[in-house]
Amino acid sequence: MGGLPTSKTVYAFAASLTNPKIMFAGLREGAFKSTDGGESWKTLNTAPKDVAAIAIHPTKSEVVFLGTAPGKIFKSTDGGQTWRRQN
Amino acid sequence: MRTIQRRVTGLRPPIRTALIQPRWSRVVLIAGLATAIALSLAALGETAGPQPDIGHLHALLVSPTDGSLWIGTHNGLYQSSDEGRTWQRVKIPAELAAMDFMSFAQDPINPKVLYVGTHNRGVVRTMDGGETWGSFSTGLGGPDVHALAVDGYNAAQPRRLYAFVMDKGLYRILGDLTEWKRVDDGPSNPDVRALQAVNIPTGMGGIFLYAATSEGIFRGPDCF
Repeated sequence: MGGLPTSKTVYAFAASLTNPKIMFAGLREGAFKSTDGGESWKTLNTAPKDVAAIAIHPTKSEVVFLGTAPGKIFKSTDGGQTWRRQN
Repeated sequence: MRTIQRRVTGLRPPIRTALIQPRWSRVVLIAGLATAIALSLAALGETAGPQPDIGHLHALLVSPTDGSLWIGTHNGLYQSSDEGRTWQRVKIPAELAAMDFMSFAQDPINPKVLYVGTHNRGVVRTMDGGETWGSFSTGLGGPDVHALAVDGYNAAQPRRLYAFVMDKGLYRILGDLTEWKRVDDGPSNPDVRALQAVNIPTGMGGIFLYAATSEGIFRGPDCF
């Protein structure tokens, strides 16, 4: 299981309000997810790169929005496994 | 300096202690971009026609009241009521207009209260869901607020709002919300890009504040 690269800038971070051990991190290289409060991270292989911001729905932790630096918005309804471009 | 926990990720080592900067510890240490081969999504989804020129995007928020999205960008604040397909510019008074809107924090009790950190205007606040805005920067050490976080999880203590001011450190404002006070330098890497109070108990009566930086993610207790 991989982790976050240490020498890279993490531009975005979001933790679920309903399950705080679920976290997402956004880097230029892509998006990562942790389900153990940041102990370990998995790459979200279908997420876009150049991630600038991430937001988890306040009451539905499986719904996640991701914004890229150029302003593209993506939505996941399955906790980050798949993403759909919104704009 | 004091001894705090430092957690290593990926190699499953035992939790160990190390002398590092007070309060803040790195959450993630393991490198390995081999798994960071993300697939391009350029072909996914449909575009929705002309969009405003937002410059580049810095921050994103989902409103708990109506599910609307907010983005902070180089060119302003925008709100979307259709999950990001189209965007409407949020009107900000000229004296508060910022070069970049960097970060959001929403009041956990009253979601109409929204704080926005800016690159050159400190913190601006709306208390009516974006209809009117005012400055909220009294006591801040500088105008460049890269990250905001709110801790309202513990009903027994006053709400805490945090701001990371570039080159100045971490600031906090408590329940009466009148004046920012400097806390410390923040995480050992001062290039903070995002901040969030996470409702994971520290074991010392508080919860953790997580910070995304140019060297990974750090966390420290917010009970100080």
